[in-house]
Amino acid sequence: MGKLKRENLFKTAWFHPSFRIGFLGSFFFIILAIISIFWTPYNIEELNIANRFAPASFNHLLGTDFFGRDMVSMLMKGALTSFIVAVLAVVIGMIIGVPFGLIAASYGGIIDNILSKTNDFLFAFPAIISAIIITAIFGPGAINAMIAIGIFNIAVFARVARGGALSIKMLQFIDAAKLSGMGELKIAFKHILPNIFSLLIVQASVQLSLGILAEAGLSYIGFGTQPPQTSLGLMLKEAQSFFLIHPTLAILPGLTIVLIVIFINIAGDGLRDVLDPRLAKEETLDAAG
Amino acid sequence: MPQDRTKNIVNIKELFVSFNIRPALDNISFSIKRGEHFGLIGESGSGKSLTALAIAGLLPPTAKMIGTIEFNGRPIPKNDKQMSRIRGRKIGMIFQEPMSALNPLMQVGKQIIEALKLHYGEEKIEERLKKLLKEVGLEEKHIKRYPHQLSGGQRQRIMIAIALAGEPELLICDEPTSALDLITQAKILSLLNRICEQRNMTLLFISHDLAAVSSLCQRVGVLKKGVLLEVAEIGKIFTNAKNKYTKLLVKSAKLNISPLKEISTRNELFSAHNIVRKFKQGKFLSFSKKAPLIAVNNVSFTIKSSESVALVGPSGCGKTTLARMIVGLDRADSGNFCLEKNIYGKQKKLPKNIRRDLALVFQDPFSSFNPRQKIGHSIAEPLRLLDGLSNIEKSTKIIRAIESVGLDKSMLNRYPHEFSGGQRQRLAIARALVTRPRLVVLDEPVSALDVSVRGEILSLLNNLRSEFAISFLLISHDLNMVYAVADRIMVMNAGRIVEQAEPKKLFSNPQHEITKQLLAARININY
Repeated sequence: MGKLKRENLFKTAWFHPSFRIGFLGSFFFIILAIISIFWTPYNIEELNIANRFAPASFNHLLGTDFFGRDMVSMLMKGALTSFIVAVLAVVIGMIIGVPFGLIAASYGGIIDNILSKTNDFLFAFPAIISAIIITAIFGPGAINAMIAIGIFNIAVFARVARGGALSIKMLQFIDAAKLSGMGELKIAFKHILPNIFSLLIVQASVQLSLGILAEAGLSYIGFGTQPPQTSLGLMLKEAQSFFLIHPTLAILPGLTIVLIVIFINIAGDGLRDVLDPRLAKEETLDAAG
Repeated sequence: MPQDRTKNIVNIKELFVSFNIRPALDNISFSIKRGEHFGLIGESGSGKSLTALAIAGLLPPTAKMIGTIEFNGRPIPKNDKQMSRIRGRKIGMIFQEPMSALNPLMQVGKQIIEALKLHYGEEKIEERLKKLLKEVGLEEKHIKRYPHQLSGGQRQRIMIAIALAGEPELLICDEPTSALDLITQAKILSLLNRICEQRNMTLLFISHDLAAVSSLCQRVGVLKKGVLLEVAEIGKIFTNAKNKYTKLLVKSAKLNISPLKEISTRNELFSAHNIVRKFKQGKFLSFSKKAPLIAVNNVSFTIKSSESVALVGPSGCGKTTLARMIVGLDRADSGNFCLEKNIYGKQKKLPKNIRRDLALVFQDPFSSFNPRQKIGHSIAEPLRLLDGLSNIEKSTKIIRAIESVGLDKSMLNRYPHEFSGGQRQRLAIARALVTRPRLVVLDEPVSALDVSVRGEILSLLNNLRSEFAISFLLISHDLNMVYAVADRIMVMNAGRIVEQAEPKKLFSNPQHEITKQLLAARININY
């Protein structure tokens, strides 16, 4: 019955080493990104061609790029764009996808069939390809990239929510709620949603890191963020022509992407370990004994 | 066997098992004599399965073990390779759920042959297989079947055949019958008894059911929370138990339930007329045209007000389907129900005025409450069916409901996992009572509970009935339990009600074949 135990998710997860490392790592980058809203060491919209390709120094901790912009400031702003796009894409996916999944699971029958088959259809296209198509049609830009990634997330969250809801629906307290005259929708949101919430949180962490990668990919091929704004993918693209002479310009944003994605994934793995009932072997034995 | 028959086959001395520092078995010492039938009894979580796993050397890697276990006078080897030679050859094991212990993609005959080959090679394999099948009471046609094509009892017989393939000296049975219905349970128990006698085999029988243990074993060990409280001859356990907990077990096994006060007013409250429920088989657009499964077939009966009626039948006879239709969780294909002149049965959603007079208590107290909702909110939910209640009226109703089942109102702020199984079932009854229904349907209300709390819950039901004038429809497969709380028993088989009578009459003079079988399957405690 480990799965049904009510626990403070964050508190339990905090004792899991990989969650703690992942959480602290991603938290560091999130804080940097948030600070960049109010303050960066230099204004990245001011070009200083005279000071281009400056090496790391006390004035510019990581040097400057080909326009003479401060790399620390660029990375902070770039991380901010990446996070905003990925987080909002997850929010879009959850807000639209989870109700769809819950409705499909609660009503079943033909409604479930239509929703699930539409979902399968969406899944048939590789995520990045459909994102390219959408941004190609509606024009490049951070907002369109976010919507494109969000649409793919809708399908993911709808599927996860439906699966979780179907297994909760088997339990007797759902029948008890029906007996007390609650409608299907009310049961879905009052009784099923709280019980699949931890499942959704784990999926959100996975989609968050995928979103950051997708945003970087879209910006790299020119469909994402447009200058003078910057994002980690766009920095990669701009640094590409100087790669042989000034490799740090590409390595720094690349490394930032890798670190953010790894930290989020580690945190997500930790969360899953804490939540997965199959890993709680000891308890199952206890119940059998 | 050259060994002396009186020598102990298993000797356990000061056995401790723990998970991370949390003790699971605490200083267990006992021994099993050769040829003896030894029973281990305890509630869930008492460590009885762990003890069996320790003897078979199958403890999970996270478990830490201290102490000695001797098998045939020698300590069991730590080396897994040597241990696996002892398992199978010397120790056979049977588990609770045969479906998960058998390979679903392999014919059962091949699975027995596989076990036989390990011990004897190819020699005379067909002959040995036939002999084993005959011994466990299966026919040759069963060889070619897959596990899902067999019934629970037949699967358990296959498991026994596999365990017997190596001609073990010790057979460990871990709750072998608790997933089976009573009729099958009785058959498997007598089969085990016969095989052990014939083969002169030692039996370690693990169960939570004192009645099953008493019908099979000569000596019993009582476990509670990892501590071995008492080891004694089965007769002494019943007449002269030393331990308080053992006394409680004995008392509840005999089901002493507080008697019902006389209740009058017997006008008709509820009736069912020609109820039929069919289930389509095969999926949407499938080409196979199977005849629909008739779960409930033309059932009619009545229940008077404040009457307690029991519906008894073997598993799969349609009793749960009928219960779900009565409370409105399912629709009838034809026929209707009548509750105090309100007729229903075919509509998808019952109107409030009918729904509030009906309640259902579920079988499994662990999944019948939302784990993320406080108990108070769960109990309050059915009050939606009563219109125009003020908050004060609501909370007085909730408090009265929880106090009527013998719990404290301070518990309303707790979450379900903070309660024991028996308490949860009390809370489920409180939730059912909160709207003051006229008819409460109880679907196997005590079969998921530990034996020691069953009597309490049944006594509670009796008290509530005399206090609130509610009618009960009690669904069960256990005649002994029903005898104590029902005014009338209806026996159901294959979708039909085949017999109904007062308990005394039914017990003394059963008419239908299935009733006779159900009565014969009861295990009587003769001490």
